[in-house]
Amino acid sequence: MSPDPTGMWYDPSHPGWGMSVTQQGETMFVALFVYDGSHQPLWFVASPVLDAGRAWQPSDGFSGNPGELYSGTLYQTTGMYFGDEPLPPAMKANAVGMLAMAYTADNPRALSVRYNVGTTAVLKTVQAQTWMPNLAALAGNYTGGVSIHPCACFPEMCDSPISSHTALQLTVTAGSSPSTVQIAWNPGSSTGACRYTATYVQDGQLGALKGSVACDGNSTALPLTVSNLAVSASGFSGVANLPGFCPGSIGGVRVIQ
Amino acid sequence: MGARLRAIRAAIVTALGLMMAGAHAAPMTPDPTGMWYDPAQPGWGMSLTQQGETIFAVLFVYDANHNPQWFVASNVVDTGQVMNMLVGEVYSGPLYRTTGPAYAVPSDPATLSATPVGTIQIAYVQPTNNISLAYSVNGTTVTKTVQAQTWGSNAAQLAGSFNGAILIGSTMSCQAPAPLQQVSNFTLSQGAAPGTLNVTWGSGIDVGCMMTGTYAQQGQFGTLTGPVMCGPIPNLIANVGTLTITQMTIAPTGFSGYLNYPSPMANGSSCTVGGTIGGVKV
Repeated sequence: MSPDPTGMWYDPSHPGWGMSVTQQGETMFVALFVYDGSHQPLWFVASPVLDAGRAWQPSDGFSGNPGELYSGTLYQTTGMYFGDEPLPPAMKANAVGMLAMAYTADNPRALSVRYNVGTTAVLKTVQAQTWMPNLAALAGNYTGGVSIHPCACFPEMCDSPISSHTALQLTVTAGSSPSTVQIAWNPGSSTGACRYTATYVQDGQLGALKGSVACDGNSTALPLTVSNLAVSASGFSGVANLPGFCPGSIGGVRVIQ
Repeated sequence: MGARLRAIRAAIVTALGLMMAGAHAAPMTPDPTGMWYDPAQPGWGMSLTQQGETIFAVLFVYDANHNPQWFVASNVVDTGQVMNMLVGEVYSGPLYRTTGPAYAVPSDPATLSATPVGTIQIAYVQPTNNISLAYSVNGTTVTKTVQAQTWGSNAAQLAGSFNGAILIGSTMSCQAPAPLQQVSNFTLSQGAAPGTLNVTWGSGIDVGCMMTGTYAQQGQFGTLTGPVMCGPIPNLIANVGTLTITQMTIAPTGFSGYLNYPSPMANGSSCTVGGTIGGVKV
């Protein structure tokens, strides 16, 4: 499922419950932590959740939602008391229904979720739970690239003015305000050094950048957004969107001194 | 009634929502985001999700009647303390049991409550990637060692050409061979054997190297280990050693990870040089 939905999801209009999604390869593990009819905590698990090979249809719940559908059997399990016991029972998993989910059409970072427990069906729109930015982990020096080119052109034949088909040195520094960042690099072509000044927004486990890039020798600043920004201790990468060009990529591996 | 609602809302916010930065602000490394379980006691698990320096933990366990029950700790932060020689930096936070509206009915804030029941502590067990877990619920203390739950592989996302680098460190007494130093522009492709990946790069005019690595998934990270052969293209016959790449974070747009290389020394022993590897997909 793309973007990678790994993380915590919740419904702002129905606080108190949540959904944990973890993706590895093409398979997701989903845990719903909810409440029973007596308001007591209860959880269900769906594993594996896989690409259903079709888009979400009106009959799945929401209308006008063309996102690819992912689904799996939903289980309620019983098992050993957390406080341990001398003769613990074997874990049992009872299939209670199905869970299906898809990214919504009007918000690529919201999920439509439908699940049923027996004959009780639940339909929700959830959003990625966000509590702290990964911005601090982004600062540093990287070797990587900016790869953006027109859709109908082989990359090495027609890079965008800000990109290069060879490796670049990128420097990420904090911006003038707490939520801004500057990324500098030199494409090494006719364009001089480029500086991308952007505002960072955390959205679940991914980040996003929105700003403009200015290069020496080019008086016009270009709007550039970066979505699905994955930040780790050893590097970062994301989808670079420059108007008039196909979605590209930006990122690199951290240079550790 | 209004004061009670405000108090409950404040507790819920504390339990499930807004975070307060800890006194020792350092993220847990490696990033523990993912599912964790105890292979000796299948059926229960722990979800960890880290953003910045704060971890959101959910324990999926069973009550005394063996029915599913969950606890949540939304503000697990660095304590700045190491448990002992074997267990590293401890991250800790209050653990809550919450109640709320039934999943099948509309939202009802009046049923929301969050009751602190104890604390949760997690720390990596050195030198493994396992986590030592300790939590308490109303006086009952539970200690476990859990490992990252693994069910799939992110290897397929790795194939492609990358702008990036193999950045391997060297010292006067511990050198990586020249073909491994300051490599940019490499290609990752499926290897000849199942589960293997080839990393190829040029190291000079008509000279190149290829690492044939065996990929393994461990939780949300990947590892790649294998020999590096170098030489005049296409005769890559000189084995310059074995590279190991760990903590690989893989996204559709790129990857990055740490590497180490045991370098032979003149006296017959070996030393290990480390570095990073990764790049952005072209």
